[in-house]
Amino acid sequence: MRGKKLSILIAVLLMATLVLSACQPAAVEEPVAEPPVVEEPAVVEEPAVVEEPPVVEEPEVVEEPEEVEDPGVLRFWGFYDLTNEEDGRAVQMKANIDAFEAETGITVQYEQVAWDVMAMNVSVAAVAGGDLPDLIMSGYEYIQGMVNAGALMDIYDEIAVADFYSDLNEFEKNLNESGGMRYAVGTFVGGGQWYYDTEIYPDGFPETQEGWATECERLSAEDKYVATFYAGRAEAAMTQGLAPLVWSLGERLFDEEGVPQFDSDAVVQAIEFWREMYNNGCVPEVAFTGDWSATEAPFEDRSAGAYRGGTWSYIFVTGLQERFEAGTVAIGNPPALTGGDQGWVFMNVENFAVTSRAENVENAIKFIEFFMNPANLAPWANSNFGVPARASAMEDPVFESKFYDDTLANLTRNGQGTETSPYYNETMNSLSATVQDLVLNSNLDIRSGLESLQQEMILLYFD
Amino acid sequence: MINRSKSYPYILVTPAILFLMIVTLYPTLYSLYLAMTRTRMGIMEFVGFRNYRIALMSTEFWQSMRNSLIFTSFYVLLTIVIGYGIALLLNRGMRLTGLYMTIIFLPWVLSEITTGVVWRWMFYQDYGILQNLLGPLFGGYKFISRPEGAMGIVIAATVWRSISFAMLLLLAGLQTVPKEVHEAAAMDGADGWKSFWKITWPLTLPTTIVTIVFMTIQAVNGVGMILSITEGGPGRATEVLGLLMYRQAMQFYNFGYAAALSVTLLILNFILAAFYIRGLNRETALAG
Repeated sequence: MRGKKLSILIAVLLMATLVLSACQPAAVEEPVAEPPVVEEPAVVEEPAVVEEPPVVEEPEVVEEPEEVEDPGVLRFWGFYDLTNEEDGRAVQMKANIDAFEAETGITVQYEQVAWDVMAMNVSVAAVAGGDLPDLIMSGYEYIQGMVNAGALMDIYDEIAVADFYSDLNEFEKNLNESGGMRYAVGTFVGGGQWYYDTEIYPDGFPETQEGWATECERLSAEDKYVATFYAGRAEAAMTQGLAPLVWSLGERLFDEEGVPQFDSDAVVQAIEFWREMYNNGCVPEVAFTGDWSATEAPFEDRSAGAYRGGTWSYIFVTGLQERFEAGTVAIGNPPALTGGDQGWVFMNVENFAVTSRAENVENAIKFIEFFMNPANLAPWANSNFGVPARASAMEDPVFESKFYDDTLANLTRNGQGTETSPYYNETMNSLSATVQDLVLNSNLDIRSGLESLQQEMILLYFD
Repeated sequence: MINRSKSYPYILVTPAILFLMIVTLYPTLYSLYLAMTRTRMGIMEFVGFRNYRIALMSTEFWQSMRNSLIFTSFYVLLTIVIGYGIALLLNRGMRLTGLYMTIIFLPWVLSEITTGVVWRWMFYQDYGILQNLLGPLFGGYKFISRPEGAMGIVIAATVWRSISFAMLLLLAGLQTVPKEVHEAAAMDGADGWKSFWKITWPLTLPTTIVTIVFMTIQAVNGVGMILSITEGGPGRATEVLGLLMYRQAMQFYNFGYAAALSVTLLILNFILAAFYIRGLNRETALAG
């Protein structure tokens, strides 16, 4: 009897232990709830276990100690693995962080979050009430979505008085400022670029629908494709691929208020063009069904005469830089649809943004100001093969190369396009799935498919 | 003495029930509430049944339901048929049964994501081993690039992984059939087919029903394999309801709408669970 009672007591204690061990502080499913990675960044001298209280460091180089004795910390989510010495962007980011820490005494608690999940992680954490860092990186197309989720802070007042503000280029200001508000600061500008093989296209890359059809006939006989590009099931495919075609006809994917207009004649024509290219084998199937690297492969092995990439393509396309410097690859003009008079390229800005729950706002602004110093900005932009958002940074000798000359020429001679919407990411992702369906299945009616999508987008986001 | 021993079981299970309530009941109730809201600019507003209305009017929703139906039907049918066949073979008590079962069970112990990535690579457009073997037989057909082909791949991959588990359940059912019944039937002149149809099949029907319902619940909720093989593509060809819910929540931050879809899934699961429990009770009654 006593043994039975003891067994029961032990069983109850075990269950209570299980229950208590399963109970955790309010943490969201997303990894963002965990303390920012502490064990990885090499910059941490001490095991920085604390999440909230500022780490008390001993600043060794404090030429200009800030008004507070303890410079504090900066929690920063970035795209890159700072331990990867083969990635020029990571190397440059690490160098900038180290220099910032040395100059200010502020400890940067860095955590890597991939570019394609940054906005998701930040938004989910914001909505779920989890922890947010002070500073993040983001492409411009994701900014509005995070603003919608209440994840970002308006920093217009802080940035408008910064030294670099007057030196920012107009493109960056047009993108990041609206109605007296600013949620991000652009560091460099990138854009779409068409790279073409000069031996396959000795007379230049075709710039019209008819030109593509003609070249398709010629190249098909040689078992080659006119071009390859990413047109898969992702917002980026629409931004980089479909939007410029629509713009070439003088139309837009969104109206002034950011409401989608996906069922326009221009979008129908663009999809018809892609469908024709797909059905006639003018572009490889992987362009519509593969991933990013799959679409690069045909250009790398020269089975495709051209590749639609961007200013960043040196980083991803094997052999591109060597071929460009050897003169066997050149930057061509983007195609315009029939009825359009000019090809367009899309423009992108990579940004820093301060989150709505940042605890170290002042340090975040200091970091941005440090980064935007031309001496720090120029190598950063160059590591991304981008154009600095500050005009004075362009005077750096690193930008004296044929690549930058041709890139700037490309970005300025063609139409420069960019669009925003409060629900850009959501609507463009939905569009990509519909477009993929419409291109791959010739039995589907393009217009009615787009009209159906348009109605759903209005209902979901704008009604 | 009798009263105290009656209350002990309840005392013992109370902590577990409390724990279950915290981790299941609270999220469920919160999802029901979330399904009636939408978030704009970080501000949550109550919108009633609007999200459900949108879902019912959405072609995306109905396409995902259709995809779920196709996927579930083929998945369950193939898993049960093949699993049953293997269970019948293993039930014969042949040599090396243990080894065969270990080999057959290997796919089940692999993670869904690992399995999905491997299948994706096997059907990679240009370099996939299965694509290169099977493609020429179908005129160069690129399976993963075509809606029907992609659905076929996710069904095949999920069936491949789940056969062993279905086989295990069905084998357990087969082993409850007394051998003497078969021997008696054989003495009366019943051949293999008649013995199966008149004896084995009726006696294992409750187990089979339970297995069917269990696999159906798995198929309805399964997202991992499809996500890792096709991510719902090409287009929306393999986007099942669970995947649509995941995308709406995690990609588009449409938590209210995603919660409404999750409630729809919950209702489907409740219905299936009712069948499952009914089948279980029937099986228990028969065993008794």
